[in-house]
Amino acid sequence: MSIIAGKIFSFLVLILLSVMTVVMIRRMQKSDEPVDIRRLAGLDALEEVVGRATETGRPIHYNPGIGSIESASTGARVLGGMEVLGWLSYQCARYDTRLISTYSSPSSYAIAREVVRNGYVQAGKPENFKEETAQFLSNNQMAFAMGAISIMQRENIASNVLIGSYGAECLLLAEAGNTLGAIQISGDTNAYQLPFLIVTCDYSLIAEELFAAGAVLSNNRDVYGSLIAQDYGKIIAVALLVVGTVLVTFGNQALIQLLSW
Amino acid sequence: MKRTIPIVIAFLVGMGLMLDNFITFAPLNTAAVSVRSWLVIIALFSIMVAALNLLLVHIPRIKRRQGTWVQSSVLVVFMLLTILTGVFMGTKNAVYSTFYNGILTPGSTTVNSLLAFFIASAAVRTFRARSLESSLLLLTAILLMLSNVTIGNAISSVIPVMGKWVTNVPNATAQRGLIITSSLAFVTINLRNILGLSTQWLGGKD
Repeated sequence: MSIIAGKIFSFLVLILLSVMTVVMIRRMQKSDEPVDIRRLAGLDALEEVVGRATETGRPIHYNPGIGSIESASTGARVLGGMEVLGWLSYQCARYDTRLISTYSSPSSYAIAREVVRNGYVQAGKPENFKEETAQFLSNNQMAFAMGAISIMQRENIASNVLIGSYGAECLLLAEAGNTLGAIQISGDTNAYQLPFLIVTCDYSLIAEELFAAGAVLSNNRDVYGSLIAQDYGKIIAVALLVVGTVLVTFGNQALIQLLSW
Repeated sequence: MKRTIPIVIAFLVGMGLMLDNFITFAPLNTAAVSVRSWLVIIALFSIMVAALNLLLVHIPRIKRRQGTWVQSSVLVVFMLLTILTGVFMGTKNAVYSTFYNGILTPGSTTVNSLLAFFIASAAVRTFRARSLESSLLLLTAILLMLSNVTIGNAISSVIPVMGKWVTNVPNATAQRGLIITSSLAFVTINLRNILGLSTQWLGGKD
């Protein structure tokens, strides 16, 4: 048994981050001190999303994009969106607000269906969960986009939540929501799609905010611990960037060699 | 047990696949290959669940002649026809190919081409000089648009150089910041799931 050459440093970083996460979670479990988490406008607006839909009696549309949950590149983003979806379905069930969630990836749909149903069960209204609440449309990107847009227009949605993993369909969905005058919240880490989401939506969760959203909404101290570990990871990354920049400027390759160890 | 067993499976599989990326150890590497194959098989089963949902949504609508029942009928008929021709006549069959190449592909291309108009409408709405930030965005957008067309170079040879600088320096820096923080968040959200802290995906309670 041996560690693959060239991956030793990244393996050590992963171990360090994992240990930090576990330590922070343990610390949060033992402590009672309140956690101060930066407010995210997009998350605060989620309550407005539910509120507006409830007041107007129109439905909320949720869509996690075309990313599939089993893919290494999109899975984490879809999972991040699912954490928000869990909260959203619970709130919709509580206030008897209609939720329509649409999916392109069959595997994402299968899991999301359970997440949504669980939200209705937790709110004590499992009978309000219908097949239309979580709908699979098509795994063809454009057929899916057209299906979702026609549902949005037909149902005259009040709010549109686009948090997950998107491709070109994000602009089609967000523009359609904008035309309907729906309040829109988006979130993705894909730098190519983020500009489209930012210009068309009222609020956007940018990159890591997407992953923090579920943690904040869950109001779970263990999960807050993982966010604190993530912040320590950021401090280490910034320190490595600064040290690396200084070293390379003076012709020293030590850090580059360490990173490729 | 209903939740504990999936959490234990997620922990073992998650840790195993993570270690497989870094460690050369024959039993682990062989097991990881098998697990990845299972992943594809499980994902294929989810297509059946998704197809069932389509039928459960549209067939009652057709029965009740409710709302868009005509479109629902078209969907169900073509879905069943495609499945039947694919299963019994093969995916290289002329009828199956016609469904795909004659209906799905042109439809997708048409919708894709709509993106140009959607980009234009989003741009018109966004690029308004309402504040300092939006004015900067507007100026940057004009600069980048000019730097990517020949007329930009005709106006001044500095425009393409500035456009390239904006793309390669401030834009690339911001994108790398996004990549680094997102990667750290990827690790923590996956750890949350592997360690059983986030269990939304599990559905019901014990």
